Amino acid sequence: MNIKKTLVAVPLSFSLLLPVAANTTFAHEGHEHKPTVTNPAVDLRTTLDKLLGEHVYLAVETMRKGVDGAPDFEQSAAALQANTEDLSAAIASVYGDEAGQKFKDMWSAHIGFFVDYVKGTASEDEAAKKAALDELAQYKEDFSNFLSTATDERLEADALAEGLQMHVDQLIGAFNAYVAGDFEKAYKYEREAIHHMYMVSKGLSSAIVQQFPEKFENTKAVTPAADLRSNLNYLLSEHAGLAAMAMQNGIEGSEDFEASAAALAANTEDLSAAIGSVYGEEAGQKFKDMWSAHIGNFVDYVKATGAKDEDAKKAALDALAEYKKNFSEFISTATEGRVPADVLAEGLQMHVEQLVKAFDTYVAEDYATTYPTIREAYAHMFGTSKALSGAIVAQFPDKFAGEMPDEMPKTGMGGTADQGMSTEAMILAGLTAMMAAAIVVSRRLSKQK
Amino acid sequence: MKRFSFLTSFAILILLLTGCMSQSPGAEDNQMKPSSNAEEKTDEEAADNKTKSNESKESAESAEKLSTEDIEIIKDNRKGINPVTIDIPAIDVKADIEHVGKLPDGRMGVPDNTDNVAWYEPGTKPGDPGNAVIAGHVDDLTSPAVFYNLHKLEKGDKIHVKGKKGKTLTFEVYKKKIFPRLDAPLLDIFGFTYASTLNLITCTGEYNPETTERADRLVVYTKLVQ
Repeated sequence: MNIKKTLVAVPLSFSLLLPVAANTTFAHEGHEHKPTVTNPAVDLRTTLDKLLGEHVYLAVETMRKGVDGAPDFEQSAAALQANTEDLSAAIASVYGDEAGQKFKDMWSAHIGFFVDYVKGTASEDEAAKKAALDELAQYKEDFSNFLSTATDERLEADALAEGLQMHVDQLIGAFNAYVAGDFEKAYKYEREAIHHMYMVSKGLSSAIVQQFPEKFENTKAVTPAADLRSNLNYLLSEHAGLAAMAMQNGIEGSEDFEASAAALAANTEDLSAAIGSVYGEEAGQKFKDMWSAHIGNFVDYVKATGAKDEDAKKAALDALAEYKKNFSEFISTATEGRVPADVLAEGLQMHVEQLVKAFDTYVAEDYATTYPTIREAYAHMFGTSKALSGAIVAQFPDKFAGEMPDEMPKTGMGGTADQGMSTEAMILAGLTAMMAAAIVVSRRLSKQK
Repeated sequence: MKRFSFLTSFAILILLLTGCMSQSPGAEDNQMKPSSNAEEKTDEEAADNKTKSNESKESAESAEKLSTEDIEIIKDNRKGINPVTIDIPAIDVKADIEHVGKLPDGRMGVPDNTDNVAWYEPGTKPGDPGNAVIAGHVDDLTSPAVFYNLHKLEKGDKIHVKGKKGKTLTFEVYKKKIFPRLDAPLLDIFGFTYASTLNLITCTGEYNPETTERADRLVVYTKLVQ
């Protein structure tokens, strides 16, 4: 698989460059010596980023499919279920199988309440909707209890449970906006809800790492470098997810097509801003132009599919191949070869193939293929994010220096210490005495005059 | 499942839900920070603000629609402040806050003036998710300093921190612990947490004239309550 190649080739390429970057500034015993996006703690954070972010994405889409009575609802729900399996396995890998199972039961139950809410909405059954909301309100407490047992830290557990409750409220909000026909809000909500989960992932991964420092080789889940990787995790995977849906909406001529395309464009804005913040505004703009153009090529592909115009479809794919080449060179130049053009080109080829496959199978009503493919396309972007963030951090290590001090502050000078005076205090006391003596002497002298 | 027609049938429910979703934007301290460490953060903040202004513009455009546009999107609105003063009534402390970073030897800096306290600026802003840290001296060369009575704080005591733009955040003590000065859990004190916390540090324990240090550090853990 190309994704594997990307993951292997890129770390190799920047490990060759790192010795130059590794300055002595960070060298302190027992702490991370150089900023990095790849260590066990950041990898855990990325796993949670991926699964929690995807959970939101699939949940939002599945609820819409559900209330629409869409033919691909079952498969969309199956993808959400598969995500739950993966998430539970990740929890089990840290806390053991029993906790993993407990997590799975709880997580599946909360999805069940959402299903109840969607059903209640579809059948205009207010009582059923209220019952579902009541159940969901309980969820926070259950989750907090689970987390406090797991993390052994009540404050953290409560805070994270609050975060998950906000997730629940956001899904309901996004769904209600969709049902009300306010698609613009529905998609903004979707983006906010996905982004919110990255904060939960940040908190959860840092709590887990602090609980089992040795399991994670004493590395940190939250550093400026890890934040960069996570931010790119969010933006790149959201791109894939929104693109897949915008393509479906495009071919269906759905009412929410424009809103979904606008959400995709807003994602492009954020991604370009992130690139611009590292490489300057001009590069950000160039990135944006190229990125928007490739989305345009996908739109052309969708249109050609709608028009059953094979030539136009081929033209769109050709344009995507050209984009792949130019974009890979652009990134390779920007990262000074840390993301090699050919490696990125392969990764992009896969991204294109995944989205096209997800779309073609959707059009062919082969939904059992569509949704696993969407999951692959979503997951693929985390490899891209790892490569890109790794290159950026290796290129600008000073920008990603650690924030934490290496030692506690010296917040006392000993003036009130019990045993004896400090040297400084004695000197100061000596000086004070001398000054006092001098004043007395000078006063006496002036009196004598 | 039958196909569902979107129109106004849920408008009433949506309006009812508005009550639960109301939120206040709150005053925000968004000051640019000069340190190079803060560059990334500032960029993020700028991008953040840009998104927000786009949102408000777009929502204004869709105002004609009879739908959900008056319902704000629920989101985490915690926003840190650039701390200027601290007020701890329980131990009668009112002090200015200096901003410090990491010293060349890797330690957290300390306030120049022993009547002031110091906020660790490369870390978390008070109010943001994460552990914000403020340190104060227990004494100067001859007499008690600003955090001399820090150890007297008890669970439930309040700490008020005022930001540059006048917004005051209140924190509440939930735990206090003493650590040997070279063996404190730095990640727990300075690292990330989902909660918005503020940890107060001062020196304690026996004074060693050789190292000119007290042996221990007292950490008073507080959490955001409003």
